[in-house]
Amino acid sequence: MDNPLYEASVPVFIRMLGQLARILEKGAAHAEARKIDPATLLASRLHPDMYPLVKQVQVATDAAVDGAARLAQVEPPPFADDEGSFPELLERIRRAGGFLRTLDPSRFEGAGERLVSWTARGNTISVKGTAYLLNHAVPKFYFHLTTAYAILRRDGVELSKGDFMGKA
Amino acid sequence: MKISMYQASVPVFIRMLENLAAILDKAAAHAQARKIDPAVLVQGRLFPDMFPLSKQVQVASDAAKGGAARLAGMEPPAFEDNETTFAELVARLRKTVDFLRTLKPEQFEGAEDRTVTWKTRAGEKSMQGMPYLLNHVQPNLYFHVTTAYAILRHNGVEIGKGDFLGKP
Repeated sequence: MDNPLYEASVPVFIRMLGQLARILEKGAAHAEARKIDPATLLASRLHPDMYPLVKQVQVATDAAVDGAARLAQVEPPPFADDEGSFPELLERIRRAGGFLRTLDPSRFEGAGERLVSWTARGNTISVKGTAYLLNHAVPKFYFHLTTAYAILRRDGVELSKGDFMGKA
Repeated sequence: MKISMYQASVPVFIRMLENLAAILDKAAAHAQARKIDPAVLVQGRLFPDMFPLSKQVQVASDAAKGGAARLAGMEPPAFEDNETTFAELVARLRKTVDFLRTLKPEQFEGAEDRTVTWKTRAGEKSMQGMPYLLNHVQPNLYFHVTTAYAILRHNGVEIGKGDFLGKP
């Protein structure tokens, strides 16, 4: 890999955010066809103390945007976290993808060795870029993406793994 | 240090399979403490036509050993898919990790550009090593590890995202 921190982050995030958008579009179409209030799906959770679908999508986009921004050493754009509908979540995904496309691959050169710091539950964590990407940003991104899929699948939306995987 | 194909696959897979094994240990302890038949959790699903927990773990194991072996230019070991208990599923993950530890970084040199061929239900597929890893193996592995977590979380096992992510 010539520019591994870029290649293993930005194009992967853009591709998978596209799959997430497709999954949400199917969720919205399912709600309309079955006359289900879309808000029911958006507020749905796998367990009472897990995040609802809306928050899963918000955190998935954050994982991609913050992950890439920290590696590239740029300020991520602010998101208000106020989405209340499928179209608003799709718009958030489009904005996240738009930001990722602005990142110049050259900004990721040497990112594997640079320290990345972030705060989680009040603790500041610092690790090198490679460990940050492979052990934190990417698994976190997939965790929330898969959970969004799982919530809709559990709620009866006709999704299959191909919707998640896309064409490799 | 550059990320190599080895670094972006083998240690990441080992890490995630070990996290999954620890999650399964917690689930087994939960079943025992609450006097739940472990088989109920092992066969738990999020939806009637989704894979049960046991199969999610088997496919996660397959994704890791198949992906890493093919990138290293060898055939993955075949496992029987006969696990029916938590102890057997954890043993399968350990066996998968043992195999991954036998792979050497040198076997992955040039893997990004090599053509990888594998069999699917739809026939034979082939792809260049880098998109194979980033667009196929990686999402597939995370999909099944996350779904295994989601099934247990949905069934009330006390696990948190820290169990999934581990320490970065």
